[in-house]
Amino acid sequence: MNWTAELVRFSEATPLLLGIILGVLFGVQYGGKLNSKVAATILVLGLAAAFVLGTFPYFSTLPGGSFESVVPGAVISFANSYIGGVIGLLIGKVASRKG
Amino acid sequence: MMSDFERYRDLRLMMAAAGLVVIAIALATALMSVGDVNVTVRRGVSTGYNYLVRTLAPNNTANWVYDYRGFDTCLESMIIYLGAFASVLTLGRGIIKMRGYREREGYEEEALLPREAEDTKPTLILRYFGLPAAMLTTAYGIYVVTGGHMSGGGGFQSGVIISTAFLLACLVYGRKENPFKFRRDFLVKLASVGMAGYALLALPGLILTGYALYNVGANIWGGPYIQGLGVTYNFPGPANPYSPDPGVSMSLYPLVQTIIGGPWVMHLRLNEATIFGGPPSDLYITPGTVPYINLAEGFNVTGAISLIILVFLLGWREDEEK
Repeated sequence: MNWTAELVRFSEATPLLLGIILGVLFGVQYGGKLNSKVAATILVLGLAAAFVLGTFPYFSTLPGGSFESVVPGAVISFANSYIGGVIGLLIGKVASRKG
Repeated sequence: MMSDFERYRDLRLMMAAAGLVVIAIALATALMSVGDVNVTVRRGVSTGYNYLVRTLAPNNTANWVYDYRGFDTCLESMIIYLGAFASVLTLGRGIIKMRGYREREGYEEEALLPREAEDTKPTLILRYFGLPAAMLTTAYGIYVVTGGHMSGGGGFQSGVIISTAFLLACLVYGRKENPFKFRRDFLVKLASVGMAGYALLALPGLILTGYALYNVGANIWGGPYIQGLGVTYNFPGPANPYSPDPGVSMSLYPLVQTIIGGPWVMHLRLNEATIFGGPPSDLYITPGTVPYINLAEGFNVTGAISLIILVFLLGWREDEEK
């Protein structure tokens, strides 16, 4: 096993995990109703924004938001922490409503 | 009913104690070092830092703000923290509250007082896209703080962006229907945790090297790097003037480096020649404590700026939030 590559792969997932945690933290501050249309709007617009932002500089693994390691030469990449933030916000909002 | 003074007493005491300990240790260390020529600022230190800073993170600005002059930035953060609390305590009557003053004291000039948010009806587009816009803006703030060490952004920017999302929700939905329900005690705790976190991040460097806020996760001045990575650089130039304190166990120092810097290791593929080899050169770097300081700073700024917005709009007292 290439420990250096594994460490880098693990490190590139750190913004994603941190994004989810921060998203939940701020998501529980959101109240009110969240219907499926609004949730779908947030998810679709969030994915579009993550695509526009792109992955962080020098990130090259799938957890980092880059598809280059899966499909060589692919230019599609997503901002992983932005997606994590959106998912975390939705989780936090749903959790706060139930709470 | 418990007053604000009693409610936050423990939090204040803990923060004051932590701050006093850090300041006392830093002062004692500085006083003991008076007269030691090795700690005086030398000419060319900026050149040397610029030469080595690429071994931390691609965002040079973050390195300068949080690593090279981290103590200065810590005090600047404290200014934001104290400024926000001083502002809301002295001026934070709230626009809604001002309505009562206008009626009681006979204010006639509308220009003096802005319209109450609760009187404003949002348009259909604002009503249905206000919440997604606020949530996506919050997510953008999260994105900015998690990548502040390697791309544009950081804690200050993130805090302002998240506060902007809160302000947007306040303006669109008004007081009663606002879905972004930042509560005052949450914002006070958020700012306090951020400020205390920044101050406490000074301790690892202070304990291990004798320098407050020293970036023990990255260690740009040489010595052991990330454990298990098998990468150790010997920097050219003057012989390692900021090596770990001789009294510190050399098994403890790499362990702390690994814990702090390990989760943020990046693999840089540079197209230009570096001191580590000709192009293309591979470089494994870690920003060390910079992302943690970004996070603490983001909490501090989010709490402080949002508290100003909240209190200036709604007032300080608990019954005005309801």
